[in-house]
Amino acid sequence: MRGTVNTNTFLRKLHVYGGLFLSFYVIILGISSLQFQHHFLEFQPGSKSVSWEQHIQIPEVEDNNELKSAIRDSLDLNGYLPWWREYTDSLGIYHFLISRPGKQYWVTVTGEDDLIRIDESRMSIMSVVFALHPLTAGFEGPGFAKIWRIISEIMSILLLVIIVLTLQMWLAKSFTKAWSWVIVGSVASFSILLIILVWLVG
Amino acid sequence: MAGRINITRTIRVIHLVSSMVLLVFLMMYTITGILITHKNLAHGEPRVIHSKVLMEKPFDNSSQEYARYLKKEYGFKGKYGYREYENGNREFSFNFPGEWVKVNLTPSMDTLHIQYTETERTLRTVAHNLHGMRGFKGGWVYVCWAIFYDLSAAALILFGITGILMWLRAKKRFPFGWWFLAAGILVPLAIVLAFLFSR
Repeated sequence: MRGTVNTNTFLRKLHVYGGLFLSFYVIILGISSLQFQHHFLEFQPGSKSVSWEQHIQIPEVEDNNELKSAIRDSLDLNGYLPWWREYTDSLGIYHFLISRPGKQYWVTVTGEDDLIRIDESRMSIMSVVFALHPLTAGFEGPGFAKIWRIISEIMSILLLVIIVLTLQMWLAKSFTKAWSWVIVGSVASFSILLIILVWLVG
Repeated sequence: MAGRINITRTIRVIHLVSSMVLLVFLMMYTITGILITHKNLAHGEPRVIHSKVLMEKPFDNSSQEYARYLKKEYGFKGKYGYREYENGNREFSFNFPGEWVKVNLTPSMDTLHIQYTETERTLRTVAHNLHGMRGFKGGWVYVCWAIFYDLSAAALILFGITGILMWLRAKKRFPFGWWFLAAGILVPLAIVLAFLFSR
């Protein structure tokens, strides 16, 4: 009996303290998910920008993506290379964007002596907060990006544990009224049906 | 006293109901999120197939109808997308978990050709697509999905806020709460600052 009480106390503490640790993460996750679907905020780079020029060895490649990756790596920068943010201007000069949380770089391939011009702009703090969500999905960035991947992994597993704990707590305490079963039964079965439908039928 | 809202009870009910709404979708998102992060957990790389097919039916400017035709004729499945390019190219995409088909319609006199890229269905690609699926287009199933996506996101926010509120009302029983709450805020904030101020 004493063991059960201790286990329950531990699980309750894990639920509360773990939940408090996750609360900010969970709120940010929710807001950024809404942003991904509705794009209610438009993030623009700041007005101040820093520019510099650098000579690098530009490789002879046909494919634009390979060229962009090679230039980015030679410049020792990191970030995504969105295919829709590139163009060739009227003088035949090629421009492309390197984008990472907090910064974006417009790269100009001048075509003269392998000279590259870089215009760096800062992004807002909110854009970085929102970028934390997809950052775990394979962004090859600096060391702290890897640290975030590990932290968010731990948070995700903790979230899974809290979900299971919530389920256990419902079963123990909250499922005393019919409405609980009606809500959870209908929402859960519809969710499962929807996932199966999208997964298997399309 | 009658008719007055019991705040503690209301917060508790919102917390409970939001967690009920969240359960299945959040579990799916957590598991698929872990699968996306860990490439080695779900083996199999996407396979890209390029092929050209002569187009038999001309495009009649109704993307919805043409998407239906392509689905029926070539067995494409999933949520469709449509886009027109400045050079006159038209692109249909069919996004089915684990399969990503792009159909390019290139105008060349009276014949057009289709080129599609298909990605092999692996556990990771399925997880990736389920996790990233959003938008209110592509048929009623995907509209339902988008509604549930929004509902889950809203429930997630409510779940977090009501959780903090419930703890605030019972913080004497959980005195170390501030430390955990602060750690949960400071850790992501440190990463945000690192991104802002590093090169």
